[in-house]
Amino acid sequence: MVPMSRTNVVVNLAKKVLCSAGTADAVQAPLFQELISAIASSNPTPAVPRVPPSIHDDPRYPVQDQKFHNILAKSEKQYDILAQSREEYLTESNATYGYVVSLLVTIHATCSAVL
Amino acid sequence: MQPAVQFYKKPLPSGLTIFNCNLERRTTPAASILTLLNVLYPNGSSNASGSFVDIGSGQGIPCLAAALSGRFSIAKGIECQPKWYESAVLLKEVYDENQDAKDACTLEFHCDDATKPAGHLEGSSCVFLNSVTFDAKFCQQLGHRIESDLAREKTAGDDIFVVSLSRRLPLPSFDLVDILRLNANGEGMYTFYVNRKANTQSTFYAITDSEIMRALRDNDLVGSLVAIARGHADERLGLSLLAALAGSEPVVRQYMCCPVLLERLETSIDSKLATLTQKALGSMVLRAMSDHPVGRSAIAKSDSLLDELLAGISTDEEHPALRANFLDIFSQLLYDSPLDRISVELNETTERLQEDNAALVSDNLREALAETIAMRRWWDGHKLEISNSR
Repeated sequence: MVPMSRTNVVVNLAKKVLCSAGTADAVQAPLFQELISAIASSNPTPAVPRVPPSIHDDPRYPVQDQKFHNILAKSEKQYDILAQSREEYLTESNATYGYVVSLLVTIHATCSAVL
Repeated sequence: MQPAVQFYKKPLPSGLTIFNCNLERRTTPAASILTLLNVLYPNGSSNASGSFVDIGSGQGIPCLAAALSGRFSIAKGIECQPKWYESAVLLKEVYDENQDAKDACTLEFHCDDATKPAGHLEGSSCVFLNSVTFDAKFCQQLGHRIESDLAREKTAGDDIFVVSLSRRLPLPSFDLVDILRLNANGEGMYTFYVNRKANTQSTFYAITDSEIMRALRDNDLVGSLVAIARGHADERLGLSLLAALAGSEPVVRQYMCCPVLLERLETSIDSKLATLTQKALGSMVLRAMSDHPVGRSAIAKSDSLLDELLAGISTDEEHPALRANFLDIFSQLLYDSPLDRISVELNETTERLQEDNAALVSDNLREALAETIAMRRWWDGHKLEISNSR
């Protein structure tokens, strides 16, 4: 005879409780108490975070990782270009600003001389 | 590759520090995302028709990793900060040039507020949030948005996952199925909370679900047991069974199919009519329910139940252990919900009780008071400090 698992024992116990629902409470009480005890003791303890298996064991990972880093590397180059363009823009702006200032100074000097 | 001048026409990011930092350093690394997806979709199972959505997608690293995993038809990032969004768009442009990757999955980014109803989450099979810096209020808004947008997807054939970092979002229709430790944010290991909405039979179970509890549900016994427990002549037995069953998150969700159950619990903690035993057992059921977002949501929505809990806390004639239990329930509710209606009243009550040292006859009550106040202040935006000193 195959021994019943703990789970099956509790399921059968619950079925017995339900079948006896119409009978006197005195009959139900021991079954009820047993069922409550079985369910309460089965509740798992608070879960502890776990570290999943390493991705490096997955045969697909090297391909995915290679693609990922290729795209990332290109993207970082784009960032570098963008950063460089901003620096050039600022440099050009400064140059333009300097040119305008020098022009104003020249005009001012010319006007002062004429006047 | 598109000419660089294309980028010049776009508004420049406001901060230049981005250009100097390693892109992966302040985000969730690709390896962590791929590891996570291996856990969610074991044995190479895929959901090519679904989409991966990253809320607060930053520079787009997790979305790119999800797109390259071959498990989704769309990988979508939502980011409200324009400077991060701009960075992600650069990544997308490079990704789109790779025809192999483009065929497998569409990568897209949106500069938007994820709490607004824009339909970004519709059809999602996996929602990811690096929620380390999200405050409680924002988490609550996001939780409501996810619940609302994904409610329409209930008939879909696949599971829906929501994965958040450092804290669990208030998602009453989701079960917590796993807690993982993975690298993120360039600072070491972070806790990833994996929530699942069950649409099919799968290998995932709520972590609060024991094998016995699953067997009871598989045999359709839980509903009948709840009905008997609710109406049992011996309330001690009935309420004890309800408290034992409430340890399981899916069972508490099943409780919600029985509206009279909450009324029954409300009666059991009635400050005027219930006996001490009834109140003790009733509060134990509510305490067990409040461990889960679905239970917290149900309690928080019942004004009369909240009134009874507050009445129990407010009266000096109540047993200290019961008051501690009620306060514990409230501190759990405050984790998910602002409870604006009674927050001021609770504030006054808890501060008065803490000042009145003579009333503190129980360490448990003192601890519950401190926790309730700490949770409420945290909700209000104060920094939550954890200390061993008392």
